[in-house]
Amino acid sequence: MDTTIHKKSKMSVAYRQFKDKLYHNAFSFTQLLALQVLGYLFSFSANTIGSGNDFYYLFIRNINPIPLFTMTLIWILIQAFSLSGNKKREYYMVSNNFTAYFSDIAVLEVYALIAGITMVFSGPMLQLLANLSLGPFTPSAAYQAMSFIHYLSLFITTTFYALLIGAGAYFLGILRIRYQSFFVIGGIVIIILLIAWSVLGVRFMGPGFSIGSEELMSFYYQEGNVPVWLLKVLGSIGILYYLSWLGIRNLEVKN
Amino acid sequence: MYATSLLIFLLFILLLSAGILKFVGRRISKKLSVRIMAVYVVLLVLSPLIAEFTVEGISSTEESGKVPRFYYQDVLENYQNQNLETLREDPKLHLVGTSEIPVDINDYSKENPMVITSRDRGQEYGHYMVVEPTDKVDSIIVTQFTQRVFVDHVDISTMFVPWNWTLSNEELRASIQQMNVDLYLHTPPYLSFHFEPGYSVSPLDAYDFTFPSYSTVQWIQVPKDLEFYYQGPGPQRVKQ
Repeated sequence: MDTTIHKKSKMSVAYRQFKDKLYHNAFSFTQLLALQVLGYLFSFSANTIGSGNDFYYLFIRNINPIPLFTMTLIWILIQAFSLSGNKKREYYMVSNNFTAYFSDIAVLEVYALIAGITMVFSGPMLQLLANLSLGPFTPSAAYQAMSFIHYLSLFITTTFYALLIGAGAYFLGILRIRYQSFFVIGGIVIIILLIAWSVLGVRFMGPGFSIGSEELMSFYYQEGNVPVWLLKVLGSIGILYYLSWLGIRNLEVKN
Repeated sequence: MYATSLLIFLLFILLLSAGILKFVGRRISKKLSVRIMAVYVVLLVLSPLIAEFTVEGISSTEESGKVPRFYYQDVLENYQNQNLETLREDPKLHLVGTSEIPVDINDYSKENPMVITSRDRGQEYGHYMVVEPTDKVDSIIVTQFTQRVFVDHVDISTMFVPWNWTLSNEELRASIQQMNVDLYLHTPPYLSFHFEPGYSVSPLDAYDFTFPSYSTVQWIQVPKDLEFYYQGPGPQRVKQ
């Protein structure tokens, strides 16, 4: 459906809306910076090990950017949630649910790319910060063994995980604006059901039963095969996008 | 259990972040925000270049060859078959240094021997000492070794603080300082090795040793005619 006023195709409107959203949400970059500074702070003691004997005490502080990665994912999560919630489109007369959806997704993809890029450069950045604050330190053998393919792997995995988290949060956000108070009640009901399920599961299936977040995480995280991993991640992202589209398709916008 | 506590921690971080974001919020104009981001990205992109010139890591040229666990114990227990020359050339041991303590053997007799004590600050360190009476030396020569131990690829045996041997009141004793090794180990995130299952980046798994395996061998050469008496409950290792 082309808009009759501006004679623009849907995609072109979506593209304009995407650029506009990117600019209007520009303060999210400052938020990213704030969260990543916090992430760098946590990264300095991702874990510590101390041990010794009569002669020495060895204290190892492990500098690892995983907390930074977590903070970046939280940033994506918050952005996706607020993007889906922000459906006041008064500045676009010609926008409809499709363009809103499409531009939201495009903005999230740009954010995921930014997350991936910042993670790739986190290694040297951490080294610089460590050198400034701690003095000489040691890049581990694993770090020195990193080649181009590892940086590529870091970039791809970070970007896709950010996309996945973004898609999940966006879907939740759509559910929230669609069902409003029911969303909160539904959330509470789901939590109660989960607790009841685990309690009943342990009661009837023995103590070995568990619904762990480990299983959910390892579904993606422990997958070493590239095509299978891509299939899992892209499949999940696709499903979440489709569900979001179902949610937003015939949504009535209240300004 | 681990993931559950992780989730709780994440929830806490999420709340904290939400607070920070509320604070940062929209106080900062869009233009400034874009500029901040631009500066940040430039800094990020330049960081490998800056790191290349400024970061000086502790590097070790030696490969962390396979040093058996508790290698020093084998050396100490086989002390009768060891000699100082081979130990000096043993690549699995790090030669910390030698110290020479002049001694007049006429000062000591059977009735009044020199006391070699292995005790310092109430601790017993006799396990690490071997005494070798030999006619090659005229004074007491203490040669100190540590077992080579690598944390990741850093040879921490070189950081050993040598024992300070002194002869006073006809007593040969060492004062022992505990050393503190503070290592900052920069490991890559697991995600870099996502598609190489089994590759572990955690330093916990990277250590091919148990911490106590790092220890010392104190080889004490004394003149053959010196009368001495080994004091202490530890093993009395006197090489014949």
